[in-house]
This record gives sequence, structure tokens and C-alpha cells, in this order.
Amino acid sequence: MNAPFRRRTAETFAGHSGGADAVLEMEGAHLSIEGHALLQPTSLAFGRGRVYGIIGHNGSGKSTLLKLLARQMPPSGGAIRFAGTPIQDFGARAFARHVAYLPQHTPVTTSLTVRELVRFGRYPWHGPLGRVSPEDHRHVAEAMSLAQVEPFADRLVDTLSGGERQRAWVAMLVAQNSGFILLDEPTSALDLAHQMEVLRLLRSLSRSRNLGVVAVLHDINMAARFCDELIALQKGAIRMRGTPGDIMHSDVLEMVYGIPMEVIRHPVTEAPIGFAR
Amino acid sequence: MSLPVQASRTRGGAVGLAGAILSLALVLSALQLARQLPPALWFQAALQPSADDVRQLLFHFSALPRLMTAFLCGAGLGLAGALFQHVLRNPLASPTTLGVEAGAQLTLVMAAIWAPALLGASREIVAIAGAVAVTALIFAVASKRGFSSLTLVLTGLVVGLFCGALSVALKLLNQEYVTSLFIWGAGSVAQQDWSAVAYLLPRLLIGGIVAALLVRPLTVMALDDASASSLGVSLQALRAGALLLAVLLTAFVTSAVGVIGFIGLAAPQIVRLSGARQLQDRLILSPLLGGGLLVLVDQAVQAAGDHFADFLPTGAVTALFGAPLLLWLLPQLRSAGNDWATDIHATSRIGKRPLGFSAFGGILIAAVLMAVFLGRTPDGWSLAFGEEFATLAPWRVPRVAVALLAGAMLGMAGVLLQRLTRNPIASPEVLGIGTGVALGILVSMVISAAPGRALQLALGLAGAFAVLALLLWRGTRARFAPDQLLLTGIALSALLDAIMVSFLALGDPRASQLLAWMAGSTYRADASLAWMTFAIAVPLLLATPLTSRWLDILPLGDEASRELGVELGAARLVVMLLASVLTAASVLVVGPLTFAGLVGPHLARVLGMRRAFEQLIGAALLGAVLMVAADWLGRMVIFPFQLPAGLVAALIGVPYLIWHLTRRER
Amino acid sequence: MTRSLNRRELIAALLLSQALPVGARSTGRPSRVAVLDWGLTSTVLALGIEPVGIAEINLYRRWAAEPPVPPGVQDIGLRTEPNLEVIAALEPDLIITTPFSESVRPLLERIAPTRSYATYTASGEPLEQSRRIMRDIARELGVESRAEAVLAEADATFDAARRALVGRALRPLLLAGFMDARHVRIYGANSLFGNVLNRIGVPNAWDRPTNYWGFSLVGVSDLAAYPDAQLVAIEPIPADAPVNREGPGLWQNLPFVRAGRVTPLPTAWAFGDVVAAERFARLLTENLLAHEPARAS
Repeated sequence: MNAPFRRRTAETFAGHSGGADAVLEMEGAHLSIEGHALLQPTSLAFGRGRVYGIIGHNGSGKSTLLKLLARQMPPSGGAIRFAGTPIQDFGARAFARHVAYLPQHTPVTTSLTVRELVRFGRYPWHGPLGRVSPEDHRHVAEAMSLAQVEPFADRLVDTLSGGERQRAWVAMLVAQNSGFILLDEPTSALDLAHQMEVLRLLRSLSRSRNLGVVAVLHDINMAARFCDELIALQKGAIRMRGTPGDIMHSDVLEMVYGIPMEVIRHPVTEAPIGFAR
Repeated sequence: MSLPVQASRTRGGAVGLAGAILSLALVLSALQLARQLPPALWFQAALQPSADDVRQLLFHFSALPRLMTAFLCGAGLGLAGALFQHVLRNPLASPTTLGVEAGAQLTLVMAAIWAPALLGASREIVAIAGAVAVTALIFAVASKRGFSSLTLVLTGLVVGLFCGALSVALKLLNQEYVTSLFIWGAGSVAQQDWSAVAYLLPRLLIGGIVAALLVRPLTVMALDDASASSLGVSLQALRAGALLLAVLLTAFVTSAVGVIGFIGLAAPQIVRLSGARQLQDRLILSPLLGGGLLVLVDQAVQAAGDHFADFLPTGAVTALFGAPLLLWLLPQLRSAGNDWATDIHATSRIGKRPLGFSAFGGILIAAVLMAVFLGRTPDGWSLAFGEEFATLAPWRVPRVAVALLAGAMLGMAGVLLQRLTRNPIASPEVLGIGTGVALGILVSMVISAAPGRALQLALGLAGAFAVLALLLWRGTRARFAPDQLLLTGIALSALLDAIMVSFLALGDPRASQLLAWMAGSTYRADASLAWMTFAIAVPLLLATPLTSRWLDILPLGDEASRELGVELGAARLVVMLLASVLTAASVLVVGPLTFAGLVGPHLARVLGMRRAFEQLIGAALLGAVLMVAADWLGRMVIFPFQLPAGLVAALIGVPYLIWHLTRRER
Repeated sequence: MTRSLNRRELIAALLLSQALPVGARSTGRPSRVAVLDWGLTSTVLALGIEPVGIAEINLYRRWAAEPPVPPGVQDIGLRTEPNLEVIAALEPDLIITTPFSESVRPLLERIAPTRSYATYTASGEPLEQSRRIMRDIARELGVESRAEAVLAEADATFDAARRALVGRALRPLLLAGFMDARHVRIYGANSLFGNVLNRIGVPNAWDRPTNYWGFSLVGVSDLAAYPDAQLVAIEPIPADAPVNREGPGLWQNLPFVRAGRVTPLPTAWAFGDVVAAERFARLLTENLLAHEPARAS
């Protein structure tokens, strides 16, 4: 196969159509490792300007789904496309300009300051040798401001609290200025206030920048509150997909989480709240 | 693409492998013994050999104790290695890591030169004293930083290097006194009585029992520090205790038969890779496999010995067998993240402005001026100017130039490797390129009675390329996964080292040439070599900083690197190639002692150069200063004798590095 | 001094050194000789020439012993890496060394004409070779008659030894250099010592192949194959060598050890020259004669 040629065409093509309505989609994509199916053949499409929450109990394939979308692993079969082009046809940096990904465990940052970390987000744009343009600086400044990490911009990331660190990483993703952001449990290490903060940030970014956000979330109520659409996984397959309103029913939740659940309305906001019975 | 998934094997594989090797060893031994003495006589010969039957005497006093010693040594080292790897949480940890053998070797060399009577009284006690002293020093440093794995390994490595360098210096200056220590360094299990068995058996048994008692608390240690202490395990005491046990086990074996380096690394690693994941299993299987392996090798050595005019040291030959085995098993190594990085950030503080590069440049210029103009002559110290300088310059300038360029290249190579592998103990040595070059030089000595420099350079280059080709071949298969790279390099080094050590052990007078070369000398530099090095070094030194952005991102790990759009395979390939070529170019001119490549990056970091670009430039400057200063000191200190620059670099760099390690505890 | 001047000087030095011709050769016989090897040092001294520089003088005095080095000779450092600046400062008109120095030969040649002599060659006749070398060096230094006298004296010693030993019940000898408690070097027929044994008519027990340097490194157990031999332990003998140890072991049970056929011999430089060979022959003969009564009884 003439790989370099294909890659170039994919980039040019993506440059034209990776625009506002570009779609990240998987078609029959699945993954098995040594005979264990981690994800059954799955077909899904994600659009920009919306927040998607992926829910399900541990081992239901949430992280696997996200890693496949983020091209961290190749699927065993099926196709994953961005803007109509198979994602494996993108160059590494071209793909990173379209899709950003925050792993579940953020790596230890060996003596990096927050500002330096956020600047890494511009790597997909300037590459290993390219000049750092004023636009790069503008994006870094904007990302830091949006994620509110300016007060500790010059501190070492590893010396920050969990919430601050998470926001620093989100800032890096924002600086990446991609059309999609994939996050694997971005709130798991955070206290309530910080959870709200990060999810609110993601939601507002989704609106203001027409960003597609796909997040694996543990807390069903947080998911319901901040997501436009929820995707429930069970045993590596999609069990249910719909708006929070569709999902937030005791029978659906019972099915997804495998324990008796109940849903009541918030006394003030009327938002549905799920809890284990 | 290889998936970071643990092979779903059970320990059955490991048990099978250990069993197979043990039975093979047993069968071979029996066959070998039967060749020496009819089995009918075995019983009598074992208990009460007839004094008139030489065969029975050999069986009783040589063959049997040799067999048992080999097994005991292999088992002891296997157990020690398993403990080291577990406690230090590093698949590369081995008895060598904590400088045990280097310490023992140093005291033996000192005793051989200054107090030979001590060796007669007890070689064992001298060796153990050295090993324990070194460990005590390492513990003293590590205790300041809570016995963290990183500090232990790093201190062990540099203290080991220091002792090794000092030993080589002493050996160079007192060749004739220490020939027997070359045999010791190659590890021979030949016996002529039961004293080694009587010495080892009770000590290793007690060690084994203590290890068994430690299994439970040690299992908890597999968790990270925080979780382990929350489970009520006193980590510091436990770590120190387990390490002390491993050190003693190694020291007993080493003092009895000499250095048998590879078993301690390979046996636990092989056991682990073949599926034994439980600590308990590893602690049982590693000694069995280690013992079996060493017996196997020793039997092969004895069988081959009849066909060789030359003596084959078992310890060295072990690596010839163990290294390929390790290479073969490597692809199954789980490339799980190690916990290295967690420690590192403590080693640098923000807020400290890096000393300007111009300051370092100034120091370098000052060092160069001193090295060129200030020197000793038979009439005393002299500052050479004018005509005197004109006569001295052709000798001094090329040496200083070569030292400077090599130091700079090693400094950069060290940064590349440490960032690529995310392992702070990675230094150019681990690539095995130095040993490849050394082997080339060795071959030049074997094929030619009077090898000229052109031949040596050509064969050295060939050796470097051979190693590089092997690293690349292995690397492409594993997409240059850092752990794989390190282990491949170490296995290669061990393999080639074995050949070198055997050569030294033979007592061949040419060994002194090799020893001098291995100590890292600028001695052979002349103007043409200096210009050649210049022509190679400058483009490399200019090109390397272009990889800075990769080097900043790569330490974040695979996921984050991929996320940011770094083409991992390509980036690693380029970084590794650069590191290899830099290393090869410097090793060719100053020998394989690449301490500047370890200390340069560390010092740069300690001095506040956190980013890759700063660190590269800083490490290059520091490496250059170190090598120039070392070359000058080597020429001055014991004038008219000269110590090689690489050696002196280790001797002055290590105390400085240790001082920093103990200082930056806040 | 300005920095630019320094730099120019350095560059000039680099360029200069590349083009530097071999130092002007004097027309007469060389009188200022630097020697980089102990065996060759011994040869030069025996020829009555006092070198201007010798490598590792202190260790030479201990290990090679003869002929003695006169005081005041400059030490030029390690044999492996002699100090080039010092050699150059001594302004020798001849440098004598072995093929070991081949890789630095271009550097040495820049100081003075360099001659390289190999005592050990593939032919395995170091004694014959070292006689040839003595004559060659003597010709180089213009002292041919002196060489003939030294060689004649050596021959006289060999012949006297041969005469003294002929007809005696000589056991085949194992020439052993003990390394430690378990290992020993045995000098075979191709070694300098082996050549001497041959010359003075003493049988060498060691019949196994040896390395390029004429010796084998073996374990004590390998000596069991020679029950009828006599073992000569060449000093220095390490303190933990089996000769110095008590207790049961293979060594103590070896037939020639039980029979008391083990004698020490003062040091001689195994990689030396004719003088070392002569010294060895003299010491060995004394030794064998002194121990003969014990053997006869």
C-alpha cells in the first residue's frame, strides 16, 4: 500500500472537511485480547458541540471504547473514522489536531511547570521543529485562562493538588484546539466542587467552541447533569443510548449497573437523581 | 503493535523451565562424572577416596565440591537477584546494581597491593568487608531520602562505578600484583577441596531461611510506598533489611568464587518472564533456576575445557549462555510503567534559575586553557608559553580537544537515553556499544600481533555497528519500548563483557593494553584523530537539540506522547540512533568508560535545567568540563604516570554526585 | 593575552602537529635511548647502555630484578601508556619498544626513530628470539661486541647448567606460577622458561597446549595428571596458594606433593630476555642441585 501518499491525502481531505460538522464514528469496531472480548462490535457516532457521557460499571468496556476512539489501541476489527476518513490514515500530529485525549491516570510529569505542560498541547500544531507562532502563544494563554490555572502557572505540576493538576491537564487539551476531547474519568480524583468545576468547563467549551466532548464518567448524576447524551455500556456492548431523560429511569439504571436503583426528581431543579436502593 | 498486556500464563511455565534446566544440569553432571569415574566407585570416592587412585581423589576433592559450589553460587545469586529486583522494583536491578562486587573487588585489589598477607589470611573476609562497606555507604546516602528505590539504585550505580574505576586505576599501576584478581573477576568455580562448600552452605541456608521469613511483608512491598505503609509495613526497615540480606548473599558467593555477574540478573528475570508472578514463587524458583543454570554452564565449560588450550572462567561463560536466553525471553516483558518517575521530581526544585550557559562556557574555556598551558615536566610545574608551548602543544591540544568533544557527546547521549527510557540510571554504557567497540579492539589484538591504530579504529567501528544493528533489529520488533531497549543493551553488554573478562583472566600480557583502553584514555589522540572527532561531533552536537520537543514529551509516557501526536516509533528510533552514534563516536576515541554520560545529565538537572533543550546543552558543557578536567588531572596527579580520562572522570564525578544526592533532600 | 591570540595559537598547534616531521635525526650512533618494555630494558642495560628513560622503574626493580637500573634514570610512566610529553622532553634519539605500542607508533616516531621488537612470536622460541633481539639492538647502538660477550656468557651459564645436571635422575618439571588458592600458571615448552629447560636438558612435564605466551592457566586438579613430576613454584607465591595451606584438599593428596617434590624458586621475569633466561637457568640449577639429596634418599 502506498501509505505516505494515502496519509497526505487524508490530511488534506481532513483539513477541508474536519470542520464544524465533522463526525467521529465507529462502525462495528471491536477489541479482543487473547480471546477475551473487551469490546463487542460497536457502532457509534459523535458530533461536535455536544457532551457525551459514557457510563457503566467497572469492566464494561468504557475505557476501551475511549482508547479505540483516541487511537491509543488499534481495534481488532471494524472501522473508526473521523470526518469520513479511517483514523489510522491520519498522521500522528494531524490526528492530534482533531482529537485530544486525557488518560485515566495522568502520567507523572517530571519537573514540569503548568505553563510548560500546557504548551505541550501545541505540539500537534508546531511539531518537533516548527516555529512557535504568536497563535500558539495565544492558544496557550487562552487555555490557561479558561481552565483557570493561571494562578499556579509557574508551579511544578507534581506539587499541585489533585484538582489543580487535573485542570492543568485539561488546559493542555484545550490548548490543543482539537474538535474532539476524549476524557477517561476526568473527575475521579476530585472532590465535589472540583468535579463540578471541570465538568462545567467542559460543557461550556463544548458550547463556545463547538467541541465534541466524550467523557467516561463514574457518577451517574454528574453525567446526567452535564451531558447531552449518555451511552451505557455493559459487558463490552452498548446497552442503552439516549438523553439523560431517557436513561434516568430506575429500570434502565438497574440494567446498567446491575443493582436495584431508584430515580427521584430534584426538589428545586426537577433534574432526575439516581441512587442505589 | 504490541499490547501492554500481561501474558496470561501461570507459574507452570516457570516451574517447567526451572525443572527442565535443573534436570538437564543433573544429567550432564552425571554424564561428566561418569566419564571421570565409574558410577560404582562414586559412593566410596565421595566418602572415603582411596589416596592411591587419582580418579577418586579428583572426584572427591575437585568434581564433587565444584558441582556443589556451582549450584550453591547460582542459587545464592538467583535468590539475591530476586530480592534486589523486588525490593528496588527495577527489572534491571542485580547484585551489581548496589556495587557489591565492585566493593569486594576494590578491597581485594587494595589488599593484593598493600597487604598481601591479608589475602592469605582470608580472601573471604577482605571481600565481604569491601562489599559491606560499600553497602553501608549506599545506605547512609539512601537513608537521607527514605530509602527510595531510585536513590538506592542511583547511589549503588555510582558508588559501584567509583570502586570499579579505582580498582582499574590500581590495577593499571600495579599490574603484576593483581593478575590473580583478573581470574577472580571472571568467576571460577574450580575447587580443590571442600572449603568453599563448607563456607557457603550454612551461610546460604541461613540466608534462605531469613528470605522465607520475609516473604509476607515483602509481598506487600509490591504496592507503591504509600499503600504499603498504610498496610502497616515499616518500609524503610524492611527495604534495608531485605537489601542487606541480598547484599550478604552476593558477598558470600563473590568472596568464595569471584564475580559471576549475570545469574543474579538473569535468573529472576527469566523466572518472571516465564510466568512466575508471585513473589513467593519467584523466591523459590529463582535460586533453583540460578543454581541449575550455573551448574549447566560449568559442566559445559568443563566438557569444553578439554578441547581448549585456554582456561574458561565459568562466571564469564555464564553470560554467554544467559544473555541469549534473556534476549529470547525479552519480547514477553510487560512494558508496564515503572515507578521511576515518581521519585525524580524531588530531585529538582523550581525557582532556582539555571546558571547561565555563558557561565558554563566560561568554566569550560578556563578548563581548556588550564589543560593546555599548565602542566608538569620532569623539572616540576610549568606554565608553557611561546617555544615551550609549541613543543608541548602537539601532545596536549589533541588530547584536550578529544576529551572535550567526547565529554560533550556523552553528556548529550546521556540526556537522550535518560529521557527516552525514563530511567535515570540509563547511561551510554547500557547500550552495550562500548563493549562492542572493546570487542572490536580485542579482535584486532587477536588477529594481528601488532595492531596499528587504523586497524583498531576500523574494528572498533565495526563492533559499534554490529551492536547498533542488533539493537535496531530488536528495537523494531518492540517498537523501541524503553525497557526492552535497556534489557537488550544490558544483555549485550554482559555477553560481550564475558568475552573481555575471559581474555583478561587468561593473564595474556596484551590484556594490559585492553585494560588501559577500557579505562577510557585520550592517550592515542593526535591531530588527525582530533580533527576526525571534530568533524563527527559537531554535526551531531548541533543536530541533537532539534529533538528537544520530543525529549520533553517522551518522559510523559506512551499514552500522553501518542495523544499529543508524537509518532512514537519514529521519535524513539531517531533518539536512539542519535544516542548510539554519539556514544559510538566518543567511545572510539576515549574508551567505553562513559561516566560523563551519566553525571552530565544529572548535574544539569540538579543545577535547575529542567527542560530538554537546557539539559542537553548543560549536560554537553558539563560533560566536556568533566572530561577536560579529568584528562588534565589524569596527566598531572601521579606524573609521570598517567591515568586515563574516563577513569578520572568517574573518580571525581562520583563524590560530587553523591554529595548532591545527600544534599537535596528537601 | 587576548583570547583571539590563544585561539590562533591552538589552531596553529593543531595544524602544526599534523604536519610535524620526524625530528631531525643525528648522524652518529644513538646514545639517548628510551625503553618502554622491561625485557628490552634488561637487554639494553646488559649491553652497558644507560637509557635516558624506562617505564615503571619501581616495579621493574621488584619483578625483573636484573640487571639493576642505575639511579637517576627518568621514569617515563606506564608501560602501556608511557608519558609522551616526558619522552619528548628527554629528547631521545632512539625509542625501543614492543609491537604492543604499534597503535601509538606514529606518535613515538614523531619524537624519535622507533624500533619495535617482539620476543614472543608465533614460532614459540622466545629464547632464540631474544638472542636475535639483543644482537639487533646492539647493532643499532653500535655495541655489537658487547652483545656477543653477553650472549657468550649466557651460553656459558646454560652449558654449565647442562653439564651439572646431566646424568642425574631428573624428574620432569612442572614450572608453576601460583595465582591464588585454586589456580596456577604452568609454563610450557613455548615459554621463555620452557626454552631454557630445553636448552639445559631438563624435561618439562607439561605436555598440554599453551597460549601464545607459552603458558596455561589451569586449576589445581589439572596437576593430578602428572604424578611423577617435580613442581617448581616460581616466586612470588601468593599467601593463599595451596603450597601455604594446611588441611585436607586435592593439593595435599597429589602424589608429587606427598612425596615432597615441591620447591620454590626466586623470581625471574617470565616475559623477559636473555638475561632473565640466564638468571632463571642459574637459579633453577642451584635449586635442583640443592634438593637432589632429598630426592635421592
